[in-house]
Amino acid sequence: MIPKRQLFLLIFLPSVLVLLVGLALVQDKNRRQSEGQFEDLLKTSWSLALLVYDQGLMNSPETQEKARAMTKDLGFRLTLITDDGQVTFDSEVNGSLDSHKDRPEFKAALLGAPIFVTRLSETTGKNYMYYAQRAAPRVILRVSGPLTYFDNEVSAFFRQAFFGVLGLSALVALFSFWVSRGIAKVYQDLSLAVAAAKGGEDQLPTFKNPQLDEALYSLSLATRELKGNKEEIESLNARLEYILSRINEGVIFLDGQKILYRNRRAEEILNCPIPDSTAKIDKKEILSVFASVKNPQFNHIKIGERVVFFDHTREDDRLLVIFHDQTEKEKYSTFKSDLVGNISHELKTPLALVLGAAEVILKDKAMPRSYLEKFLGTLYRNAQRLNSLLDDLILLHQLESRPEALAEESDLGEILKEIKEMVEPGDKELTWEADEGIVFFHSAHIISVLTNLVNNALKYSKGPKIQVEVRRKDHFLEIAVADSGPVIPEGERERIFERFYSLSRSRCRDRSGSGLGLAIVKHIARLYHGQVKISDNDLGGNTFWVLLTSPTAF
Amino acid sequence: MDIMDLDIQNIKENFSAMSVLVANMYMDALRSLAVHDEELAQKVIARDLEADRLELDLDELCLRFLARYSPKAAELRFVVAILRLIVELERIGDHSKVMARQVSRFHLAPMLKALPEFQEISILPYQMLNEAIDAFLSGDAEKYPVIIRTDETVGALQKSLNESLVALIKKDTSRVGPAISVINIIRRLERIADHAKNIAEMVPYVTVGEVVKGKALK
Repeated sequence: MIPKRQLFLLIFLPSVLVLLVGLALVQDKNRRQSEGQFEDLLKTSWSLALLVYDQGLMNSPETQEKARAMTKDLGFRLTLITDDGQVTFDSEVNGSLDSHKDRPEFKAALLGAPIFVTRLSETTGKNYMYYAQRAAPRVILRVSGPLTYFDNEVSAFFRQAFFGVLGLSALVALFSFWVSRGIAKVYQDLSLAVAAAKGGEDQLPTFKNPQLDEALYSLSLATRELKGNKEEIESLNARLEYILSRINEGVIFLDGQKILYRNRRAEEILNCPIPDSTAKIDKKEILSVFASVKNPQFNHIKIGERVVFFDHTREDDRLLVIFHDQTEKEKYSTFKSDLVGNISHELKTPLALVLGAAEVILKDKAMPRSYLEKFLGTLYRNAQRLNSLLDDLILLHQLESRPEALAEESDLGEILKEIKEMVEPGDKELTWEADEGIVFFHSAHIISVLTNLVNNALKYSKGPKIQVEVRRKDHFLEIAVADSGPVIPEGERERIFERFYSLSRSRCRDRSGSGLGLAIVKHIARLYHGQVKISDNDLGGNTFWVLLTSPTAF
Repeated sequence: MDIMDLDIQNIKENFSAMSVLVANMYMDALRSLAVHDEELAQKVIARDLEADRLELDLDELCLRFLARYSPKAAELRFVVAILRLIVELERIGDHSKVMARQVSRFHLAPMLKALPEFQEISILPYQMLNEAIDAFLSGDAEKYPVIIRTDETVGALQKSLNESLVALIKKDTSRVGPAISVINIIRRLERIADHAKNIAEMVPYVTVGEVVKGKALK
């Protein structure tokens, strides 16, 4: 808002300036007019002086007195100058005077073009106006008069005018003050009204001017509409942002090198913050996507463990790239191809033995009883192996596909009794250290973990001793099975829990076993939010350690 | 952003694409060997053509860049480095192709599984390559000595693996063919590590203009 003082000065100063300039102009004109009048007067005086000269009054000292008296009455000074500049008569000075030949009026008179000259008279010390003209051959007649009267008159006028201007200025000041106050008020009212209209208030101030009211009303209408639009756009934006931030695809939207939009998922999938320009990216995988979009080389990239597929749509310089995280899918397909390879091998071995034995029995009708029994034994054992392999596969499939932890009440003592009956220690020394009592786990799962671990130890360890420890505490069931070697190399401890890992060279596969046992153990542990671990032990072998967590304390 | 930056960015993106392509060829070649996947091996062999095409494209892009802008300092070094790096990448692609070819000759998976050091020698050059390219693109001049030193580890592994394989051949002459094939693969891996080292050596050149090739590490 313009301050009142500023408004006041804005009106007052120019007005006063105009008044002052006017005063100066009038004064100047007045002076010129006065000068003109005085010049006329001098000219008339000169004519009179010529009369005096013509009468010869200035030639003899006697008559000079008379001439002096005349000029004094007329109020001007008369000087007679010869062509060489010598003063022969002066009405105000008795005696001789300097040569006048350098005076401008004299020079002008010599040239025959008389002029009026105003200057300070050296003789009298006053402002004089001079006028000289040739009166007779070799004689120049000069008249001059003091400007005193004229000066007085002009300054008197000036004084009056000055006071007048002063008065007028005061009036102007009053006027300016009044006007500025009025304008400031209007301005204030107007800006309040505009603020009200912009703020979307319902009650708008009214003005005397209906056009102003209408303008205000339109403004308020436009503001409200804009605000509504803005809110709509914002909410639309927020909705889109919400959707894009929750979809499972990463989205990057580019204009040339400028990255106009990217969602959070894109940063997650690509595993790096995405800046506002592709020039700031230095990850080769992401850069390669942009190259590949322009000139397709591949449709997916690997970022660490992640496999990310991408596709794009392009419109001129605008480019939309969508990233799909296919890590799980890729992992699954790798896993599946591995599994099919492994299973087919695993199923085929016993099946080949079954088929072989059956074929021999069928072909050789006259086989001795002892041979027959041997082949039937092979057939039976391998059929059993196939059966247990399929059982394990089914259990594993159940654990993987429908994992549900069961908080079923099981008696640990009963379970252990059952297992001890099932397990055949053979030539190995098997010791049990076990707590008894109720635990809240599915008994089949505990049996599965224990039998798998114990059977594993019996099958694969070459040492004489196997120690089993079962402890229950609060929510936890801790199972540890220690064998006496050989030690599984550190690098294989993770992999041993993969399906069919027993195929590997770390443990020779001359014994039967589905190769699924430890995978089952791992899945059960996972089901109960537990852990599996393998470590060295004092027996010079491995300790398989499993921890299960129950939702309920025992 | 002026037009020169756009061209630099274009070169950068294409170079990234080539490096990713070559790194994938390498990884897939090794996987095809490990699981004896002939189909995958064929894919690797086919992708070598793509790598060659990318090299030619990048060559063209770089030469055009030099002709168009007569670049100075950092830009000049960058383009010169790219011209050299794409040759290294192309060689890595070639080696990967040769490794993938072994899949159709012998069933090497069991022998490779039985060599614990093979795991290591097969992953190290890949890491070197990736780290070298990352350092090059991000202008990180700190990392390259580590990459260069890894090359020595690869050399040591190669030596030890060759000894094991020679011992194997002596013991079981029926496996001479596969063993020689594996020795060949290991030699390729060692060469790839060398190329990765060359790439790493370009990092200080492109970032600060220092030439470290042939100099002892500090």
